[in-house]
Amino acid sequence: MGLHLLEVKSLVGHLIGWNTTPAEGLDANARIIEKLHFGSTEVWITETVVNTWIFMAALIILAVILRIKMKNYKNKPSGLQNVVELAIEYMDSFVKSAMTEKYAYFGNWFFGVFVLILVSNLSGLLGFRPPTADLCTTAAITFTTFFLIHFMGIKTGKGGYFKGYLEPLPFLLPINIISELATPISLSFRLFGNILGGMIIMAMVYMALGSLPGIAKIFNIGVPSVLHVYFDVFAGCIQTVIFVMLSMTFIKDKIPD
Amino acid sequence: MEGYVIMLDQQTLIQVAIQIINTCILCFALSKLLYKPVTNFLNARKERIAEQIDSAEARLSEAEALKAEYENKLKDIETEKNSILEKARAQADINSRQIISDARTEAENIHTRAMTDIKREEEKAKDEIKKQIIEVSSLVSGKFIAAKMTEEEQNKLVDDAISGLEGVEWQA
Repeated sequence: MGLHLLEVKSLVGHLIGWNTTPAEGLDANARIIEKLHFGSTEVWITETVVNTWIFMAALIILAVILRIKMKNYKNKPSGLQNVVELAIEYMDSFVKSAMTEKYAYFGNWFFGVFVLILVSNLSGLLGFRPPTADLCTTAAITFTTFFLIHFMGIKTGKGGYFKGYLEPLPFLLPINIISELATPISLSFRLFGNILGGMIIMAMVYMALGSLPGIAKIFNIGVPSVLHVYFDVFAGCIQTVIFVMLSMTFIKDKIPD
Repeated sequence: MEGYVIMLDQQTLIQVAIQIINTCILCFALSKLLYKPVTNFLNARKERIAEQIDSAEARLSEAEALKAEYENKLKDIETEKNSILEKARAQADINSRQIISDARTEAENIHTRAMTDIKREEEKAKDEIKKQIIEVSSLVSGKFIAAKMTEEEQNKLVDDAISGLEGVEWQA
């Protein structure tokens, strides 16, 4: 099956038209696996949610195994302990550099977020549909960031927080509010768009490679790997770091010095 | 199978809520299981290492102070040793001088005593010889006179002899 202009058009129309009909030929959809009914409310169990649960389970099991293996922490680290210490120390210094020593406890939150986004972004390599290629996931994580931004702003800024919306001039209040609302939207759509885009490009490439005739099928070897390295590994890691760093910076910005 | 790429409706809110709960559960679990214990451990170790470095530094300065103290003591010992040696040398010098001078006086005493003894013996020997000469000469002269002299001549001779004897000086 070849990749036709019609299908690309159909995909674009599908994206713009907000409909839930799958684009023909190119499947970038998050599948709805189950539709549960609670009274009049319908709750979908989607591919995104199931994948997230799989990664959560894997990560929590891994954490439990690491915890058991490292039951007796040694002063002189070796082997596995080194790897875990490296990862956690990296996160710790990352948080400290972005949010200062005082707010190092945010590492507890951002470690989880970082690992979740990273694993989601990289899961495309294993054939999963990345949960971060679904706006619901990125919006959920961004919502928590949005909540933390304003919670920390009110908690540490007191009255200054609300006064900040009237600065530098009171009539700029609407613009200030819009800019605050733009923060989570840009955060969530950046991550979502990058991962979804990579995923769609990979799907298109696989379709194109699949339609190659005869000996040209040789391109099936190697070409997808290189593209996976770029779209999944490189873009995935970069987007994870950007998302977490921006989240921390936005929260820190609301905390007065 | 039904699916979607992006949607904005009530279902979106439900999906977002599910994902918020998922994220919170994961963050909580990872924080409890891994992040908190490891950071706590790392911080404790950092503090412990800092403490160890501090105590090592304190011990080093202590050791250096002790070293300086002992070096001072060693220096004192050196000077003390020198002074003791000096004193001993001076004492020995004094002693040796004393011994030599004592020996000299002793020797002088012995010498004087020996000289007096010698003189006394000499006097004694002189007297003895005088006596013996008198004896021998009187014996000889008696015999001679008895054989050849008259009484008058004899008396004259005796007188001469005696007076002559008185003039004789004995050589030592």
